[in-house]
Amino acid sequence: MLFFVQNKYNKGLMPPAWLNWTLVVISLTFLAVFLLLPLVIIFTEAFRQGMTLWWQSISEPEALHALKLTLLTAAVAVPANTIFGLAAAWCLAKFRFFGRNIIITLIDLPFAVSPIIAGMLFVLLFGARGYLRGITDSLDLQIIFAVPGIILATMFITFPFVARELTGLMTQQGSQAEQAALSLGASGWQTFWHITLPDIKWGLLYGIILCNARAMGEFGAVSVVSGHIRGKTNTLPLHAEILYNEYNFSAAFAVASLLAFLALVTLVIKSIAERRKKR
Amino acid sequence: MTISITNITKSFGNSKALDNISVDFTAGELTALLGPSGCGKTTLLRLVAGLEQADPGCGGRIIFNGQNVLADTAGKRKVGFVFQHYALFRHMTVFDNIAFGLRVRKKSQRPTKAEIKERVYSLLELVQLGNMADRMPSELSGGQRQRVALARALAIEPEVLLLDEPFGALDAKVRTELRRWLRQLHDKLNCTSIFVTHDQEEALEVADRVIVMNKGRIEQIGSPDEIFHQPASEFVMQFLGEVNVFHGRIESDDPQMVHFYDQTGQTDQPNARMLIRPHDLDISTEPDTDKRQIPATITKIQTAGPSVRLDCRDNNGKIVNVRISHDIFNRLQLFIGQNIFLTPKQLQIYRSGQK
Repeated sequence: MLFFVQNKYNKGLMPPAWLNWTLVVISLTFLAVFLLLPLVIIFTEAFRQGMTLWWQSISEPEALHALKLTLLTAAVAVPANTIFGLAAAWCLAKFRFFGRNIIITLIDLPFAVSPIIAGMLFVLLFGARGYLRGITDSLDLQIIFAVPGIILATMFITFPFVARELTGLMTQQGSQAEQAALSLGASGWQTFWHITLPDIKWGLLYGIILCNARAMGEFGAVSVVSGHIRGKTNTLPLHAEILYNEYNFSAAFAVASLLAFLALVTLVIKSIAERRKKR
Repeated sequence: MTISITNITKSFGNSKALDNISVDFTAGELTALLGPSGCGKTTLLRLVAGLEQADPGCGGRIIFNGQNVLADTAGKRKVGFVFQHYALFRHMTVFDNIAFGLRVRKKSQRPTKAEIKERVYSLLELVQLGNMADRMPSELSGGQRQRVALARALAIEPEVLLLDEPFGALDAKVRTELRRWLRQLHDKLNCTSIFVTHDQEEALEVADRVIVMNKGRIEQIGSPDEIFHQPASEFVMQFLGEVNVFHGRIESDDPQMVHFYDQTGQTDQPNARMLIRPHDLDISTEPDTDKRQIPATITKIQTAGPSVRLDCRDNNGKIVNVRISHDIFNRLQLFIGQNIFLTPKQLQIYRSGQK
């Protein structure tokens, strides 16, 4: 419960009532202003001019394309990072080897680097005078200002979610259950499917959901590599920004509400996963 | 199944967990690996199970019934292993835990569903958990989990049963019960069993044979009686219970001709250590010049317990522990501050260092 119950047992441990209430009011106000209010504003602004306009704004071809591109990006980045994350966490949690700490630090790099810098990194690699331009040109592959760039940047940004979530969980669980399975005659795959995976499934789902949320919402890095070509390289967040800059507020908020809706769905699944994970 | 281990060395980084170990385990025996933590006993057990690999260069062998299994995986060795913290599969019921080893077999070797069910229930009966099949491990007590782990290991019908600190995490009362029960179970199963423990009482009570280990080496192998009454080294003597250490001098070839260095003001360096257990000291209130006696003063008396425990101080101020029966204590009417004379009934003498 949010409100503290005062009784004779914990009297000595509790702060005085006036302090209690002050702290509660401050926290609640903070929550309301910084988290709840923006959400309410997004939806009120989105529906201010009625359902029809909202529907038009999100069903026009450019918005639909942005939605498709956002989903495509997530559909590539999330599975790729899931597989990578699983492999990395397995390796880091079950084995001790030289350079392990360096790898753990490297995995956190995308969190530490500003997304804009991350985007610029890809421009430096694949842009007009990029280091790897020779290779991509010879393959006739456009990366920057095209869909592959957007996917690459998103993958970079969402790289740590699954790996971080699972490394801690798997380290804490140790490898005794796996060893037991092996000594009972199970093969490596049987051990993975029947022992390892069930033990980490909620943690894994949690990591995937966080990864997905960020993949769909990423703005900075994608903005640098995308080039903002309407109907071609615009994701939902970029599309919302363009509409906003054109003073087309209702449309911008309509698109934003779509993103917010996706985020809310994600959060609901996340809290379910979190509760299961704790059990 | 007889197990024979020869010249096995295992290192972790620079430290040797096992240093050129050779030992045989007789078929059908229950053997205890006893030693302080870090002595290598668990490593040895895990090597037998195939959960740990010996150093590649050591040239050692692990032989099960005449066959070298060193290169075999843990699964192939068909060894029942019970982990220290049980390592039950948390997301499976008790039934599924026990059935696991049978269900993962290749189709050609896998028993039918009905056979698996029958086997699991008979194992549950054996470990006295007949009505717990549908419970989750989290719903069981420590002792029950331990027995599920045991049933799971037995499901694959191993000829070798290995237990890593099987009672380590249980409270004292459950521990004594389970210990007796394990002994009975072993007699019923006709298995070669090895268990690891750091509790000397446990090893002496349960095992047919005890292997005492220290710093990656074997200190002594023997029956509980031999280990307790004829400790091969000072380490074994110290590890198996409380001892009083005295310094002395071996004057001739007859080891019984030892002078307690502390007593008569010798000028020579001591060259022997004499170890005496607290219950191997006789107390008298009068001096007796015919006997080798240690004069001391009583500093503390503790009568709560099956025997009376006395803390005494000898002439050098060293504390000597003595245990006597309540009968003798009452007859002698001892009190704190009293001067007494201690006579060793039995002592172990170890030459210390170079002469």
